[in-house]
Amino acid sequence: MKQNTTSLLTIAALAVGAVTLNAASQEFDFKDPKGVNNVSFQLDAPLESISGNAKGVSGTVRFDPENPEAVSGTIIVETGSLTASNDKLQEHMLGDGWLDAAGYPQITLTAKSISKVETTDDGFKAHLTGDFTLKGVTKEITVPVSFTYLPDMLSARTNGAAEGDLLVIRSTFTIDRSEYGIKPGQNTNKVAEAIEIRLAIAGAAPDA
Amino acid sequence: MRILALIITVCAVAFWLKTGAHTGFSKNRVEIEKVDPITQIEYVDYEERFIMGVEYLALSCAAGVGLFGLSYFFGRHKS
Repeated sequence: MKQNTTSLLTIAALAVGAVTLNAASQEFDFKDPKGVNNVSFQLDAPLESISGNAKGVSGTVRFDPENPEAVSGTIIVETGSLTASNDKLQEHMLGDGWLDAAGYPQITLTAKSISKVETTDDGFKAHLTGDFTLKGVTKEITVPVSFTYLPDMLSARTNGAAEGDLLVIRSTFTIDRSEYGIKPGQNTNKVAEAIEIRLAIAGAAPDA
Repeated sequence: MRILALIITVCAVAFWLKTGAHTGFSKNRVEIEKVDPITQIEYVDYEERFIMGVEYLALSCAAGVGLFGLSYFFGRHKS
């Protein structure tokens, strides 16, 4: 009888612990109907500077403000949502010679681990290591990233339609297009090899 | 013909200056930078508007210079 009681208490304690742990970690959804979330890109070649952005951002990130090292999740960008400043350039960029948006409709970054976490005035900054996939090629990259946790701010963003928290993620990093099989070594006078990517996205975790 | 060459060149330069004297290639949409008041995320909205680039400016000036040059061949001949 005593042994059964001890077992029951142990199970109850574990269950409470699990619930507490789960409550601290929240899942933030980065689908943004307001069209604010964006990923911008910049290429500076000797003869031409190309810039634009993408607003087709989605994905989920699990984040615990008490334990930012435990972050996990994937951010997805629809390749077809990449916009440049002129139609001809955009058509070329999304065509099969360059990004092939029809064949590779998504660009993704999946978090694997996080390091060098530092507390800032409004959140955390860290180095995030993850798998970056572009045009079907996946490479492990480590990028600087900042997290701004905004508790109870979802209501302000949705005009009171939903209660909950917001998480803003920002990162700026550079990739080399040749490493992702995008015309390596070609057209470098007009299309730079280095692509600077700036990520500024907010996810929402509505109260259950 | 020389007057036409001058008009083309002046109009091209004036239009280029009016649309912002953009030193890159032409654009048919313009970025408008905004900031979300809650998250402070900076984002860009696009406005459909033509911005003349240097390629059209160069073509127009070349056409003006070409016409000016041709005017010597097709000008009035003194008898």
